[in-house]
Amino acid sequence: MAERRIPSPVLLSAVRGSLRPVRPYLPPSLRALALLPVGVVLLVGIPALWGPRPNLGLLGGFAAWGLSALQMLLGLTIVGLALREAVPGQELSRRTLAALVLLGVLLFLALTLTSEWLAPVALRRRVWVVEAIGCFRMAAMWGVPALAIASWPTVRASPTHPLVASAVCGLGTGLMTDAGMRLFCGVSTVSHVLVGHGAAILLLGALGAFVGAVADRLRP
Amino acid sequence: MDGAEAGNRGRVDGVTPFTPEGRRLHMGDSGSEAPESEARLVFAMIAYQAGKLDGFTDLYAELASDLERFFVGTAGREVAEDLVQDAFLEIHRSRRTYRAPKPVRPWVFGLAWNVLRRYRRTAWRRRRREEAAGVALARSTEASRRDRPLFDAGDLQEALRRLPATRREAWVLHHQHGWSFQEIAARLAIGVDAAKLRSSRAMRSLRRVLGVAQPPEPAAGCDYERGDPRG
Repeated sequence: MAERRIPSPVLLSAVRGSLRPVRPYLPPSLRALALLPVGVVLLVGIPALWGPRPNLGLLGGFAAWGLSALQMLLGLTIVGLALREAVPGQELSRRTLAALVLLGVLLFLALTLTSEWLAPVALRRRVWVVEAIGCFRMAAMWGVPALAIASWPTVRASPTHPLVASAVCGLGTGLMTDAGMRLFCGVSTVSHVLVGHGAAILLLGALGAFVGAVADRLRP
Repeated sequence: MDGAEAGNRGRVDGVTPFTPEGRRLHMGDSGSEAPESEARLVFAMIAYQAGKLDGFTDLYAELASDLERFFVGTAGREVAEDLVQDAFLEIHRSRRTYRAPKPVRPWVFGLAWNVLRRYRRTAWRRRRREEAAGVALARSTEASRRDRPLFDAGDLQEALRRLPATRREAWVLHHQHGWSFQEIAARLAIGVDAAKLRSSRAMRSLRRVLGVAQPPEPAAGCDYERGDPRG
């Protein structure tokens, strides 16, 4: 029978010095559920603070609030999967991750086209850039603090692919933020939504990856 | 913390081959040893999370050899032992992230992969520093010739050369340059405990190679295992 290996005295001393009972992490689904208030604040807070879009009536209750709530919940689900990806040994397959990103993109495009179809807006070329930059800034203002809250449990979990986990978390947060933005911004022109709102989602994804990389380098 | 412990115990009680969780543990294992080993690991992890040192030592006994094989295959024999120590420190820091009764090995090897990734990332920095450290080592050895009558400086230099780079660097910085472990940890981008471990292992290897029972004395009054030469 093989000899039982024992830790070196120095390692044992280091472990003993900081050994205390710890509470294991909750499942990723429950930890994601704890972020539901963040999603609700984004969904309700943006139109409540800056006012709802002028053509909200044209969209109707389901296409406005219902689809936005759906987008927020999908974003929250993606954040939950990012939390799972962050735990060693529970990583998602590359195929699942790709499907997740594709699903997010498709939902975003579907909502954009739905808004354009139900409440079309003719945007003058001169104000196009100003409107796009304005929406991008507003989405970033709400999304960055939300990302800070959502990425904290992601980077703390020792992810084996910190960039991927945090980027997925950023993508989910971006979708959650856009769920509120589409209730505030009355410009449903496809090019505006893709550039102004889509860029904010991409920014949050990139920012998430950056946060993951930095946190990984700072780990002892 | 009794509550957490009780919660963990509740989970352990459910892990038998007849429960869904137990069956999940057994899934994919062809031999009869593997599920038993995995169940032992789950129990060890639960005890470890409950703050029991036995849990850690059991985990070490079960996994140290596997981790060493992993690091020998991926990073090389000379650094494998250090990386195993680093991996167990990483396990210690991240023990909250394990959720019983999930399989322990994928979690442990995920953390080991993190340790390997960080080692590789800092490897190129280490290589660059080795040149500078080599110059400093030559100077220090020359200086120590006057202070140390116990053995020849050339022997020490040769013994140091034989050490893995990770250990040599920690030892040289601490025992010859007088750096604190906090400073070494910051410079090498590792934990303080990892810096102590590397220095300690280097010292043990040097003693063995130089054939001395007591530690050599580059600085008077220095505790080689734990001490800071600057007091």
